[in-house]
Amino acid sequence: MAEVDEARPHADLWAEVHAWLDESWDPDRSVDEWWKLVANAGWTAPHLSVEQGGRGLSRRSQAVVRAAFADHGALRPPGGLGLLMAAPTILTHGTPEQVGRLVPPILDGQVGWCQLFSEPGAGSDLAGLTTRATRDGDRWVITGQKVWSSMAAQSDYGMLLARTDFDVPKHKGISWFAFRLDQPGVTVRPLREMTGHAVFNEVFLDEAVCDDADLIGGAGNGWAVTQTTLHFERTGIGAGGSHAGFPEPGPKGGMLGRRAGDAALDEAPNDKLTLGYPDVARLARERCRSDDPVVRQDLARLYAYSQLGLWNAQRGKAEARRGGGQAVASIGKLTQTRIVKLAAKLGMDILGPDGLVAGAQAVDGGVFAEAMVFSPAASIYGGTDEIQRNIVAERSLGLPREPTPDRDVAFGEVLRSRAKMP
Amino acid sequence: MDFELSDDLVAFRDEVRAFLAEELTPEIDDRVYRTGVSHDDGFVRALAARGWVGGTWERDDGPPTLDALRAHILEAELTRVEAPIYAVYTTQMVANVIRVVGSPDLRAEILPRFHRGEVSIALGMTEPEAGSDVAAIRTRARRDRDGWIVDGQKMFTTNAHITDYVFLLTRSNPDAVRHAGLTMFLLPLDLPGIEIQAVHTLSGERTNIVFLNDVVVDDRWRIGEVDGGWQALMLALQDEHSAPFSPHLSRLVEAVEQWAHEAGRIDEPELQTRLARWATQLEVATLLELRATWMEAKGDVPLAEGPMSKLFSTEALVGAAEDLTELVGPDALRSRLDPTAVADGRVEHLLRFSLGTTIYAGTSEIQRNIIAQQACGLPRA
Amino acid sequence: MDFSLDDEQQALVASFADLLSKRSSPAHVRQAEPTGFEPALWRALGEVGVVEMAVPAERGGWGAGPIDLALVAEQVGASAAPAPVIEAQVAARLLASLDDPAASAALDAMLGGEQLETKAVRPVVDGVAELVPAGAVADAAVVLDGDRLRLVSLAASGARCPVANLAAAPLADVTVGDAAPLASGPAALVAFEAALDDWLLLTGAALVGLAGRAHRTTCEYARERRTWNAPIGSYQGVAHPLADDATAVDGARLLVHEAAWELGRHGRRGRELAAMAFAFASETARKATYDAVHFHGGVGFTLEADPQLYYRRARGWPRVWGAPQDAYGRAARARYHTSEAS
Repeated sequence: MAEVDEARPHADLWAEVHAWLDESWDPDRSVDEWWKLVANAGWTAPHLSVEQGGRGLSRRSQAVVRAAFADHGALRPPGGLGLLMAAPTILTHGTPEQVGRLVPPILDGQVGWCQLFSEPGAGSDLAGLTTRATRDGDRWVITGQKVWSSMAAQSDYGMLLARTDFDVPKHKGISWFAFRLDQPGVTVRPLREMTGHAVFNEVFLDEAVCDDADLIGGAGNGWAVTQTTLHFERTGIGAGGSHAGFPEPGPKGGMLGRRAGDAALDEAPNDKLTLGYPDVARLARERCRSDDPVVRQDLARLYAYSQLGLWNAQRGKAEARRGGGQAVASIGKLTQTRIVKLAAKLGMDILGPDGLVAGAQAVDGGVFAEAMVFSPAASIYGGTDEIQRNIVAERSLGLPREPTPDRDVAFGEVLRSRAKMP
Repeated sequence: MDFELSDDLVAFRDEVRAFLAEELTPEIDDRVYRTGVSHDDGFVRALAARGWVGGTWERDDGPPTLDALRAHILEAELTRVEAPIYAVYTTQMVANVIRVVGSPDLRAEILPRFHRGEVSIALGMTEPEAGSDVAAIRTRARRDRDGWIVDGQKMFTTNAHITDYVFLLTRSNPDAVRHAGLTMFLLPLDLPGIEIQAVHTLSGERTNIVFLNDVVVDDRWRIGEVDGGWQALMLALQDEHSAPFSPHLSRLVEAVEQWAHEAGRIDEPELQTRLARWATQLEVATLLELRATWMEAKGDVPLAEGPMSKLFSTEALVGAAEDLTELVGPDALRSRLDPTAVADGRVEHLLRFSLGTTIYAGTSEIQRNIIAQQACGLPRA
Repeated sequence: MDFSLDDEQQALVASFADLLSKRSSPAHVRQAEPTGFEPALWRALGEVGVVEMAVPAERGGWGAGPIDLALVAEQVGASAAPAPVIEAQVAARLLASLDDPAASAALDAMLGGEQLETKAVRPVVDGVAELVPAGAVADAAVVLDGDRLRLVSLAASGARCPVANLAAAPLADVTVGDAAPLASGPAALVAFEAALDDWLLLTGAALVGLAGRAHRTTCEYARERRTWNAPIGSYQGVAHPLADDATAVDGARLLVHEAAWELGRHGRRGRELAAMAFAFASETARKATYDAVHFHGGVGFTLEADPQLYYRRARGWPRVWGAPQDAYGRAARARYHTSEAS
């Protein structure tokens, strides 16, 4: 209901996109040619200003434009983590030179990005990272290890956080780099998850290099820049944004040289790792369990959470427009994890023993068994449930933070005292 | 391995039930419910006459009358029927401390009267600003000639309005930090400067705030060493974790099962299944409690097992009260005092009563802290 | 009133714990996936009498009672052993309880180590017994088809269809055919339900072991892993759920033991307590293994780490029969004397 109301103001935009596509869409172009044309017309990120490469439209316009492209049968504008996170970050904190150099290739899908934040010793406490960047003339030499980097093997650039100053407290000595991955000092190794897939990677940096010109937001200012990146990540996931990567940009994404018309037929990858109310309701009907009173209770609960999630996302967008919304985004993520877990559990309850079966023999190709196995991840990635609750407690309820004794101690000193412990 | 009570223990349990059938009259039961005061002089004296007050202790006039298992059975049966024993319970906690660290004078004054059911003592540790963090208390005791002057405020001093004394934790040394500098007293409640105000609670139980204004206390009322109050407190608190709570859950489950039988609904599959879930929780709660008792009977200290038992049975009680209220439906809301009450109004009462159980005698959070340290080996925060 | 293990029981637990720690480490468990059967481990367990112990003395076994079997099952569960100990023991006890020559012959074959039998935990529907535990590796399965207990040979091709599954357990769908019945009528149903009591009890015990191992591993990790310069176990957000899990695991273990004790003395609450133990152990294992994955953070989600081994099995093992809810229903029917629908 809400979607229809929202779409009406966009009827003009819908028509405009279709008109443009009528004129410009040519399935015989290559994907990279097509994406350059699309970006040039400002369709990749239409909510950005014209100077920034957009069309100065509303936030909602991006989704409307993509839907119109798909409706027309045209290949959608490029996706990817660069568009979701790196571009907005660079637009907020970068110099005009950096913006002019780094953002257009994101908008025209020529470059793929990944995130290089978490480390084996720094997950929830991201500010405790130890990847070291040492100044060497007009470049930085970087050594360390990153983990949980999805799409690293298909990326050209990484949003890299490294410590550029060990003599100040931990939050103050971090810098955000636009880091090129194709160099000898970089090794990418896939990680196998409980689902059997390998979406995430470890990235080893051994005296890799990065130009000082690619340091975004100023040396030592990386933590503030990261907050921007994380904000865009949260509002992307928490708003139920499905498969942010599709279609894959960059030379390693496998799209660029293809015929645009063929690529347009690709479907968004089966995002069935996270199931929702519609999937489970359908399953209940198919298995004749819709009349089971306990199943109905759980279905109703799942439906209620889904609605709450939608309304919370709308509220979050409204608050974000006013500059706030962080607590609401956290509530959104918590609601999402609840939905993911309840849907997986309910799917299993409906299927009974059949829910154990994996692979091709299984009901629906085993999506429910896979969802069961995937569901714990929802409470871990993108900020654990515990971190989200801390944010809600502090920002929304105004409760005091827990004490953090190392907050104002020079990070080098923190490391030295840790090394002395038994 | 053996999960059965021996025949003689079963016989003892029957003896206790017979005692209760006679001594716990409907009139007493009703008065306790209406006033919210868990105490009756006559009942306590009857208990004492059987040797059932402080029954596990050596006394001047004879050996213990109860072993640990019998004491547990007695306490469980008394708890089940909500006998008016809260004052006896707190008095026993304090008498135990006096027995171990009290002066000969205090021991002579209190212990014989305790065993006869002729003295009562309320607990005065908690303050408005200090509950779980009991070392943060601020009630001051200043030395004054042969005695002390006490100033401050105590909270949730249940039964102080009718007991003879209060077990009073004070700060005797304001320069000492936290556990150091505390002194324990047995404060006679008829001294000038003491004012008691009633506090009524969700469960209907009545408790009190006690205001202490320049109360002059003779040093003979000190329990244990000056600045040795923490040790006295620890002795008292080790009893707290072993109070049984599963009898409340047992009574609730039984009441609802009976209601289901009488309503002709016991064979309904969903209702049955839901009841069986709580019957299972009750089974687990009972076993955890028995384990802690069995350990104590053997002379072991159930450091983790006591908290596990308290945590599990009280949280189960809260959950059961909530779910079984819904199961029984709107009729569960009818108050015990209303003639149309269902299952004696027990369900409605427990819905209110249960909430206190996860707070007093050590909150669930405190219990989890202890379990985390003792059973999981996790470090303190 | 006694909650302790006697010397013999302690020795039993120690010997199985020792064998399994050497031959059923997480690496072994991984190696045996996806089938979930390690023949060398099964042989080693056979050699220490894991099948004989479950059979009454008068039928050629050692006559161990349910408590001893539960103690062993807990160790099997703790190591997630890729060996059909519970299935074989339950099948052997069932065969021993029947007065039929084919059953005796099958039991002898089991005791002689020549055959591995198993039992379907749910009745046959349309000629198929679905998801029979150990069905993928057993030589025969006892199934309940209507009111007949049949012994289905799994040697013939097409008799069984192994099923890839969440728990990496050797499950198979078994086509029943018309194998001669070992028992029929009320006697067959009684025998099946008694065997189900055994299976529920021992699976509950295994789940206690699994949950306990996952929990212990997580507590160790919570002591070591640091964030914001403190061990994660010092944060109440981590410590408190782990304290709840410790309490539940202890409670589940006590309940399993009580159920085993009651079944062993043929007490009137045996069926009720076995179902309660299964239900409570299932729920406890579900939460404890979730917490194990969660508190290991992202690492817990990888295949390389151990928590996922426990997480999947905590959900797979009980569900071949049903959800905790189903077990509460069974407990309720026993408790309130409603007849058991077949």
